[in-house]
Amino acid sequence: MAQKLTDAYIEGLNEVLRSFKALPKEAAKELRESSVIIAERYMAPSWRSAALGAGPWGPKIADSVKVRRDRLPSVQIGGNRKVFSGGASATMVRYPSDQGRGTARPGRVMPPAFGKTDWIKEAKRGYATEAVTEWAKAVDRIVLKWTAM
Amino acid sequence: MAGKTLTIVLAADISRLSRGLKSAQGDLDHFGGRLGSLGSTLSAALVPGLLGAAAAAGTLAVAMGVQGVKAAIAEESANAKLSKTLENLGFESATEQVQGFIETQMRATGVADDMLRPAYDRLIRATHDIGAANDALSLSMDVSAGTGKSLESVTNALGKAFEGNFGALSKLGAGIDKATLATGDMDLITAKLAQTFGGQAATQAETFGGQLQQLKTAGEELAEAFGKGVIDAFTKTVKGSGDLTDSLYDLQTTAEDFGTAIGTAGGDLFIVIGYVLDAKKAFKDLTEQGGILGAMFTTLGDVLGGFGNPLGVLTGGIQKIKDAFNVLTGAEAAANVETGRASEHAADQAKAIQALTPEQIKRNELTARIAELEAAATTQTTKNTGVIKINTEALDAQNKVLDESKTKLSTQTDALKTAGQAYVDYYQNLSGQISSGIDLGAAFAQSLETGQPLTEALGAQIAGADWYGTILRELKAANASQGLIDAITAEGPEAGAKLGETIILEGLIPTLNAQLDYVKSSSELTAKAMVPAFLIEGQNAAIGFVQEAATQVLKDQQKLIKIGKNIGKPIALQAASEIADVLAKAFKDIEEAKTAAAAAANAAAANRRVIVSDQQAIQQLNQILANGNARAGYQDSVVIA
Repeated sequence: MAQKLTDAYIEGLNEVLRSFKALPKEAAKELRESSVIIAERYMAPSWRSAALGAGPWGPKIADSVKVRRDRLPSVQIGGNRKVFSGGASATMVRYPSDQGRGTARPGRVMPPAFGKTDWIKEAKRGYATEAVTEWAKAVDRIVLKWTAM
Repeated sequence: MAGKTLTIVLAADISRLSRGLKSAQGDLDHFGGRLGSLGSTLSAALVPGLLGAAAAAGTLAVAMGVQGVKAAIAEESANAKLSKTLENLGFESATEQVQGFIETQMRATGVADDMLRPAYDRLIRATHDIGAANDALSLSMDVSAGTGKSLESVTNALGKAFEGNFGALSKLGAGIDKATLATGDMDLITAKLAQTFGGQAATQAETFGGQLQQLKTAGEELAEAFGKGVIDAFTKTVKGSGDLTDSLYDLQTTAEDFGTAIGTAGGDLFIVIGYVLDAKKAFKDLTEQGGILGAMFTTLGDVLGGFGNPLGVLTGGIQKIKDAFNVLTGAEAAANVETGRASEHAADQAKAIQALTPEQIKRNELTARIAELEAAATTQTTKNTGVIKINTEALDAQNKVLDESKTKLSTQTDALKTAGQAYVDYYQNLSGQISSGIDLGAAFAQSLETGQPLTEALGAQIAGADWYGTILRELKAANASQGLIDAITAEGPEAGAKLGETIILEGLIPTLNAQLDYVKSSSELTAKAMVPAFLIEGQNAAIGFVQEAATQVLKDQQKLIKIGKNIGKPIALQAASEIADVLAKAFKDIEEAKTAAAAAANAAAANRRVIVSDQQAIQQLNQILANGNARAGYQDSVVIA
């Protein structure tokens, strides 16, 4: 089961991130703050909206979409807190609500309520262009700022 | 049950995509094996195309309608060209064999047939031999794979060599020495090339890149097949109108619309489509779910076989493909486009970063230097803390010494000033005691007491003073000493006149001169002895203090030296300097007092005042006065306070 999805691939991204090691820690901190803002603006709304397509489980899964504080904008979906009356967590229903019952693990029987929705696949990920552009601008701004200091 | 959360990351490095592709390739290989179990015939027929479609899903999805048709047209053109060449060269019967050879080469190496056909065309024209052309094409592919040169340039060079022109072959960098080329023996040359590059194409094909190229080529073939079907069907649809250009125009519009739809469905992919990793998952689905696989085959069947309604294929068949390859839609084509953009963007970023590199390096150097300085400063600060502590203790000790020295100096200075003031006071007091003259107050008192007019009383004083002056002149004439005259004048005009008269009458001038000279001398000595006593006392005290202070300073300095710092030296010097200043001032004050005393003494001398302080002289004077009074009937005495 995939635990990480990537919206876009950038050549030289690792070098860019590595270059931040040469800068003061405040620079990386600013990058994280900018990434949080970008993720809040672009990624979280899209994935919350997509999660609502997960059938009756959608709202709880949508509530579990949280922005991660990282150098790259990212969100996480799911959580181990019990959010359903039966004691299930958002993580527990995430995959079955996407792929339907019986697909989480071979031989595992899921409740019949789970149907294949492909909500993860259907998520609108068109934010990538604008989000990456904005993130790149943030990188430029932060690098210029801290190299000039 | 605790599970892992799903993380969606906006971007990742392209290297991660490569790993993902490699993993996907492994899955594809596995996929091929699984298909083999489903039916060898069907697998053999469809797997290459399917695999190609997998790798070139974007090509299929986005450009199948346009590029597929164009590729089919180009292939048809190349086919016709090669067939015509073979026909012209008398190898018309071998056309099918040649096409089969090219097909085999294509599948073995992944080199597209649209490249192989022109290459073969060039070689058959040069060799005029099917077998030689086949060998030459294989060799060209090896040389191309080995040198990195394009197949076109290699076949051109090799073709020219077969025609007797070895220049291009020598410039190819294939490692053929001039001697070999000079022989003009193509068997030798090709053997040499085969020895050098043999198996390069096969090796290249086995690499990951080569396999991807094969997949791409297979996909392109699928697109060509698709395009050929479209053309055939479309040609049937337009029923011989022959206006293929217009048909393609219409087809292109439809295909572009479809491509747009696919692009939208696939997401607005900016840098590189992130769905490639999803493709891996999709293929897993394909391998694990017969339903989807069946749908895929159905779709492919529709695409490859049913072109009765081309627009239906586009809107229906391709739509099914789109559904089957849902996640894969637009991946490679869009990826290629966006990779280009990404590369440009990354290149710009890299340039920007490179442009910043000197600054960063400089900054790093400065940061490192600052860190070194800070470390050194920290170490030095630690050392300095100890030194400062020592210095502070030394400074405190020295300040204490200095304060004590200042206090002592101040005390001694006060003592010296007191001594000087005492000298002045003493002299002034002495001077005041001997001052006398015409006393208007006394005249006034006398006038009040006796009723004598003041003028008369004063006149009597003046008369007495005149007489007194006469006496004094007589005394002077009789060689009375100045001391004697001063002693007489000290008694005032009246008593002085009587005293002078008595001295004159009794011829005491020589005796009194001697006596008074002695008295004067003695009194002066006494006075001088008394005055310097203060000075000497002060001087001795000052000297003693200086010696004590110097000793203390030296002692303290030794202590400070023992502490380990010479900080005591400048402080001691400073203290010594201050001490010297204070002493100098003190001595200056003393000298000034001494000068003032001398001036006062001179003034007293000028006033004919005699300093009498010797009891003996007083007694003698009293005796003289008593004698004189006895003769004159007066009773008086000299009192020195």
